[in-house]
This record gives sequence, C-alpha cells and structure tokens, in this order.
Amino acid sequence: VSTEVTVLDSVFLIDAPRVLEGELGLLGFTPGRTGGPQHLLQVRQKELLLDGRRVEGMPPGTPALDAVLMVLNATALAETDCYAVHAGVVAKNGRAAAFPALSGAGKSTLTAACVRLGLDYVSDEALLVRDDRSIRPYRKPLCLSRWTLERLGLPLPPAELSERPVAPSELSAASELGSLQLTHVLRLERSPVNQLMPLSRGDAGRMLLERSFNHFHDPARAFRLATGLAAGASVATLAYDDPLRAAALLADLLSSAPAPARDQPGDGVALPARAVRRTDAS
Amino acid sequence: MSGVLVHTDRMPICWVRVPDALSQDLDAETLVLAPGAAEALHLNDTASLVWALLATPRSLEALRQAIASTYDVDLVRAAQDVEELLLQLESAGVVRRVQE
Repeated sequence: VSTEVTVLDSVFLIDAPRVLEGELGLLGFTPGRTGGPQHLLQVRQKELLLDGRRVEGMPPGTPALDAVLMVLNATALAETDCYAVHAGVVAKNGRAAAFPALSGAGKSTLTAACVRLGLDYVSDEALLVRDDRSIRPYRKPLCLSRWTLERLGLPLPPAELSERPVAPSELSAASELGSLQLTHVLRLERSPVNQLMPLSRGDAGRMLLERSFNHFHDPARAFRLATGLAAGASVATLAYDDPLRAAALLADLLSSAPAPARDQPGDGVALPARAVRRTDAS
Repeated sequence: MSGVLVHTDRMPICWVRVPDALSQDLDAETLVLAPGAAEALHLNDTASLVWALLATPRSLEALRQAIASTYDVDLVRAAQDVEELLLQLESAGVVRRVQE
C-alpha cells in the first residue's frame, strides 16, 4: 500500500504507482482514519481492484487517475450516512445554494465558476444533508473540461486529455467552512438568456428526491429531509448559457435577502395529466 | 370507469388517507409518500385540494362538489377527474375506501 486517503467517512488504502500517489496528494485528499469503512484499492496496469474485486463499467481509455477518483467518489457516496443528492453546491456566509442535476448538466462548471467569483466551494457532486438538515461539505476534486478550464483561466490538461481534475485549492477555495444551511434550491436550465425564473416548490422537492443517490436506504427519512428542505428554501430556475454570468447571478442571490419569486397555482382541473407523477430517483 | 367508486349496494363509499402516508404541502402542491414506498407522488394544485379534504373520509360527491365550486368546472368533468385521481391514489397506496 503506497498511500491512504479519506473521502467522507470511507478510508481507502491505495496500492498504486508512485506517480499516481503524487497526483492524488496534489488533489487535496486527506490521510487519516475515520472509523468508517476501510477499503483496499489496487491500481493495476489495465484494471482496478476494490477489495480484491475487479471494478467493472469503467469507460475504455479512462485515465488511471480519473478511474481512481470515480471509484473513491462512488464508494464514499454509497457509504455516507447523510442524505445525498446529485447536485452542485456553493455557499456564502453559511447560506448554501444547491443545483441538483444529472451528470453532464454543467454542475462542475457552474460550481467552479462560482468559486472563482468568491463563493465557497461545498461540492460539485453531492448535496449531503444531515438529519438536522445542516449541510455537510463534500469538497472533492472537480473534474473540469478543457472548455471550462479555458473559460475560467485555469491551466489546461495535456493535449491528449479532454479534462483534468482540479483541487479545490487551485480555485482559491477557502480551506474551512463553518455551519451551512440550505437556503436556495435551483433548477438548471440552458437558455440564451441568463436569468432567474420561477420554480414551484413542489418541483424543487421532487427534484431533491429524484436526484438522490441513496433515498432507497430509508425512503421516509429521505422524504422528510427533501420536502423539509424544499419547504424552507427559496426556489428558482436558473436559466443560463454562460457559467460566469450564472455564477454572478448566484453570488447576488446568496448575498441578498429577498427570495426569488415562485409560481402561482395553475387554473382549472388538470388531474389526469399531472396529478400524480412518480419520481425516478436513481 | 365512471361510477365504480360511488357506492356499494348497501352503503356509499368514502375515501380517506392511509394513516401512515407521509405528505408535505409545498405551497399549492403536495408531495406524498405511501407507507413502505420508495417513490413519492407529486400532486398538482387541484389534486392537493382533494388530498387535503381526504384528511377525513369524503364521498366522491363531496369531493366533486368541492372541485367544481373551487375551480368553476362542471360536475361531470369534476367527477371524472376526481374518480381518476382517487384510483391513482388508491393504486399508489395512499388512500383507501371506507364505508360512510
């Protein structure tokens, strides 16, 4: 075993080439034991072994470092006690804004843009909610595309790579965060116009359930947490085409007291079409 | 399907929430979780009105009257919509039939 890292509550003993060990160290992972689950991650020339079992499903050609980061992330999220929602999260003065979304929706890019504008980095991957509804930071390295790196003025990866992992410190993210409360839930929407638009509180609650990684562990607990957060937060749709402009909107939102406008109830009877919708959280 | 929910041979049927169903009013909308279910239901404003009324047993007639008066729609349309909703809620395990 060449190195040891802690991700959330999970500890990973990593057996890897020395160059990879160095790269992991530069990404800001912390050594140390948490009392949580321990794993042995072995990096071989053409495969990864987690606790002696080959890791399946890795896209062909995935660089070893990226593959290791994916395994660390997936395992740690699967083992966290927090309610976990797939989302980017940034904060200002203890007020956090989350934007739940699927992979590829631009969470990491928007998160990085927000941090470059001075917001606190909470996570580009998961909103982690404790039972008292406080937010636990998950400050993993951000995997940013060449386009995003260029847009944010960050060093580019080698020519053969389309993206590279970026340590939070490289974005000038603050090293410590105090207590965090979720004050804003935002739905991301691509649009030619950068603006905040209404979102119903019901849609916000549904989004916090649909995008959960682990609601199935305890659906009733997940329901209480997700709907409680939606009931207590300001909700809006963030329409944007430029991450830096969107980040500026978010910075204004977190710095100002007024909540964004919300939908008004619709008219008429529309029960069959929209009365009941099932979540598809995965 | 219309008419199947109205009454049995002896007594009219009412509808009421299942006791352990969780629900959260989110402005005009409601999220509901059936006991033991993994997926929540998202009720729009009109369905949320029905859900609110189902805190105590209600007949189809009472529900359609409430919908018709609140949303200014005719009773036939309201009855159809309420019946369909009740069947969906029953199928999801969040309401049950009781005798009046």
